[in-house]
Amino acid sequence: MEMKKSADWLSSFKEGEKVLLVNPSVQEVRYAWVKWNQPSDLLLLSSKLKSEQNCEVELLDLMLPNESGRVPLRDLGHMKRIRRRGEPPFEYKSRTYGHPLLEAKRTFNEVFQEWKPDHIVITTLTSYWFSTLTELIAFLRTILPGVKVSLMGAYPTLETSHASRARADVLVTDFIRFGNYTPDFGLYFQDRTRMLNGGRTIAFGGLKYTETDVANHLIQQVRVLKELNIREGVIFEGNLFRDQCSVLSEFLERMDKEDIRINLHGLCGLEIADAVGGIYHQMSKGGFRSFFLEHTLDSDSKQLNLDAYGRAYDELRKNPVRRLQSGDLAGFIMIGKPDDDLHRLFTQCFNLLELCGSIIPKPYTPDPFGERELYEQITSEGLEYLSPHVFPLAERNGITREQYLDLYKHTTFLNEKRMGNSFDFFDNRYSSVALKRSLGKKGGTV
Amino acid sequence: MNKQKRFAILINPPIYDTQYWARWSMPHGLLKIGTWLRNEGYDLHLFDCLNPYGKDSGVPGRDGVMDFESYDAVRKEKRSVALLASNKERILGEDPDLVPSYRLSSSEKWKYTFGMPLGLLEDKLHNLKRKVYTEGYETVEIWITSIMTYWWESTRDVIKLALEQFPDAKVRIGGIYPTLASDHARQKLFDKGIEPKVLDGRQLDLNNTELMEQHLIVTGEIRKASDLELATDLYEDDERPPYTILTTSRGCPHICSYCASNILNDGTKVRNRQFDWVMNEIKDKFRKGTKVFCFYEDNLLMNMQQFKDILKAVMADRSLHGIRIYAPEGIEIGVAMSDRKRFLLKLREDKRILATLSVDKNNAGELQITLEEDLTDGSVQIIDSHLFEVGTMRLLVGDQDTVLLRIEVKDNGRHEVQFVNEQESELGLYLVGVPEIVYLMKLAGFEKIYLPLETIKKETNARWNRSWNSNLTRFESLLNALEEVGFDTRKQHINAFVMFGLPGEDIEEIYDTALYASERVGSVIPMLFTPVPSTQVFDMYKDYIEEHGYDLQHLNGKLFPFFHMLREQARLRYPERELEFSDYLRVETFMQRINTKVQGESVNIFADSSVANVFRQAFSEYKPILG
Repeated sequence: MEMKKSADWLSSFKEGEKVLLVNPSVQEVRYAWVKWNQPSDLLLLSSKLKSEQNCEVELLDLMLPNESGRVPLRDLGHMKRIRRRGEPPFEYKSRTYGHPLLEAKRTFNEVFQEWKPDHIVITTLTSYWFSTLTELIAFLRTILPGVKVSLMGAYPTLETSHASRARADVLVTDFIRFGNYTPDFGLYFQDRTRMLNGGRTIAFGGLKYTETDVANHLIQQVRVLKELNIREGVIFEGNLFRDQCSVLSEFLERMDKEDIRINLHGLCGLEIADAVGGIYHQMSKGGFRSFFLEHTLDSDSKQLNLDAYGRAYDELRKNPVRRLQSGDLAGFIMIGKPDDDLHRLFTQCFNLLELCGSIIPKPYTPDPFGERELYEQITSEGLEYLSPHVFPLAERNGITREQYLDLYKHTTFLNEKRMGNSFDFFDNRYSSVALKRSLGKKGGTV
Repeated sequence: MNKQKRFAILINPPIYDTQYWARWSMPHGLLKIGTWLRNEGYDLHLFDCLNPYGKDSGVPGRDGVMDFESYDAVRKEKRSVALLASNKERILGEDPDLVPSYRLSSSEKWKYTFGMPLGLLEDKLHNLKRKVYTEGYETVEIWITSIMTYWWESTRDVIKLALEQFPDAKVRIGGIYPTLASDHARQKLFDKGIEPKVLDGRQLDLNNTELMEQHLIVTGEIRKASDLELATDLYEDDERPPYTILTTSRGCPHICSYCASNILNDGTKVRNRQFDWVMNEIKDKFRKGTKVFCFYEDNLLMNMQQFKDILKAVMADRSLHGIRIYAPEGIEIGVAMSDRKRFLLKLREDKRILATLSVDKNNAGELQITLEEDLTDGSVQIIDSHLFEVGTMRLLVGDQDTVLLRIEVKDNGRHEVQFVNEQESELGLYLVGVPEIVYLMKLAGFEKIYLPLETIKKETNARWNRSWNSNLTRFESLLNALEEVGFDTRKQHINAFVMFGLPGEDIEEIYDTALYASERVGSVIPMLFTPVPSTQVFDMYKDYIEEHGYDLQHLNGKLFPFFHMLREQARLRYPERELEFSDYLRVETFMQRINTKVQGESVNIFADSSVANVFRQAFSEYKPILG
């Protein structure tokens, strides 16, 4: 097995090489928004390989959702056990998300009889989604014996030693810089790729910011989506509002000027502390249909940055240029952090429900770069403990896993939509006051 | 030509309502009538307009597996906008300003036509005409069931439509509505030029030509049909619901002031169907593919012994393996708790039941403990019974625990069994007595239990003549028993009905009940109160009903008919704030939201857990940021 830096690895591709990209299944306790998953790194890699090495690229996307936005679930009886000192292990139901390999074996053989790849590249989105890889690689070696298998992405980069267990031929040990390449959405519409994916194609495009000339490249990506008759898009970016929103604003202006219409969904990267006045109106006019605001705290306290949320509220709820559907404005609330406090979290939930109308609990796991020490503390117990859905910092932050599960239930209760509304009993109306009185009959209230 | 035979069209009409839950909606009374008519030589055709399994139900994915739990809804079409707590309603097509995209105000609700649209029913009746005339039937009768009194309008519309297609036919309207409001039904039909005769179901004689030549409103029970099987074969094979309704008894001994059971059943006497008939129906239906059986009774446990006999017979019959049984109307708490006890010998560690025991009289008339079941394949053995001491039993469990049990005689005949040496049990055994009926229900495959909690306020129960239901200690005891036999409260195996919308209540009382039910039972089923003609409540508030110009359709609980009264009462209690319609809507949504499940378990915001405590504290301290 070789370990290679991405630059070396990329240079090893030969002119015209046949490359099969694979997005593997995922074993997890919960996979929220599976509908919106897309292997952007593979789509960028496809563009790069096609452009630079004239490679023939196909894609097997085992996480590609069906028309209703779902992927099959398997191994439903599987339990993930988290060891605890002095107590029995905490058990989470875990399942495998993704299209089963065996069922499609005949199709694979059909495709590979006519087109045999020289190289298989498997990506990994996180450093802790590794449990399906061994089986996947073994399967690929059975149907494509002798073909080189490379593993790239977060797992071999962040956990190189652990990743050597997956039995790939090559581990790519750093992240690839894609410069100004844009995702190859058309890959999904190639005949072989369509066959490999059971006829499924994508229902949305995950747009990416490029290194330079971002707005122009975003427009190009949208044009490709339009040509492919895809009307939904998400910008997968850490901070859409970076550089005082200038990038996003320029993109939206260009869209408007060139009269390009697409439904955009603000599912990630809405770092609202960086939002400038008017940007939400511009986003609404420019096609954004949903706004999921990142959990944003005041820099000098642990409370919500109400000014930042207030700006979103003013432009999206109080004076909207376009009325949003129920649930399309929501605030993430990060749970499972080192300094979690239940009372504060509930208060923040109530704030968010008032301002946004919806909340989305987002389980936390330490950032391998910014919180290296914490990250390593957890991985020393086992890499699988990193999954945010098992609350890696539970117990050590004073909150048990049972309590997190209970908290999750409470937040789900608060967010449950009835007649288009989440829990909204904060005002001074009869039903709100009566509920307060009634709840007050039990301990816990003041 | 078939001049001798008579033809009957059976219709379960669509309904006009704001919401409709289609599970268990099979028109069982009409289907019994079907059996009776067929026995009397009629040819039949059924239109069940509310069948979610029908081709025209509009339920997506109908072609898939017929899992009855997936079919809670039927198609719906917007029909009108009702102004809440009023007699005002605007109908689409009649009001030129009303369009389907109309945005409701907070005091309005859409009413829909649920089920087969009238136009489609008309087409189907039209198509049937050819067959009927080709066959040359001498008489055509149209039998229409009508359930809720506030659904009467669609009954009238269907009658009108059916008579347009079959002008010579005679209609027979039966069911709850015509029984409770026969004058109303007669008047409403008279307004449409139809003159029916009102007839007690007991006097219905199919061979009385003079009688049968008239349109009939049939009140009360048609005894000749009551005990017959449901003619579910009238459904097309690919439309037949995968469940059936079982009625093993009629009547309820209580007269709750809002319930019409005593009128519908001609008094408070409880009457049972013969055991053999019930068992034959179960076996026959099961053999023909129906796996799900639903007991629909006025008061299921009133004839406890027969119900137990049915359950035992079902369990003993291997050919019924795989049967699923439900009783969505609920069981009466006091009656369940008054049953003789079955004692469960359980392992504390995992709550497993190892053996069950009971107290019986032996041939000498002495009380003795009987080992009913050893559920361990031989690990529970009787060392001696009645020998060590009269009224005792010694068991060897595993090869280490000797269990000494002793009868504790009770004056009320519900004797207890003591586990004398429980403290010495090395296996961690304990003994718990539960009403035998709940144990048998669990054993027979009941997946869910429904309990009529209604309210936890004693005064309200007393006001509605339901003091017999206001013993919360008994309710808790039953819950504990249900948990001991294996029903899980947090997994919504047990469901509590909570009633609201009644005069005299306060919203806080509704919350109190809902929170209690959520905490203890785990699942809340909100039920909005509708005053039913002929009941004490209806008579009590007759002036109010007349003053507001309400017809029966306006009394639909979902339209909050008593809102004005409730608002006045709220003003007296809390003059500083006004009760709005939206408050009631919010209470309703709260009760639905409180059933939220995550990973198969329902939330419990009223628990004593630390998270629930903090939730309540944070909520009580919360200062809204939007003012």
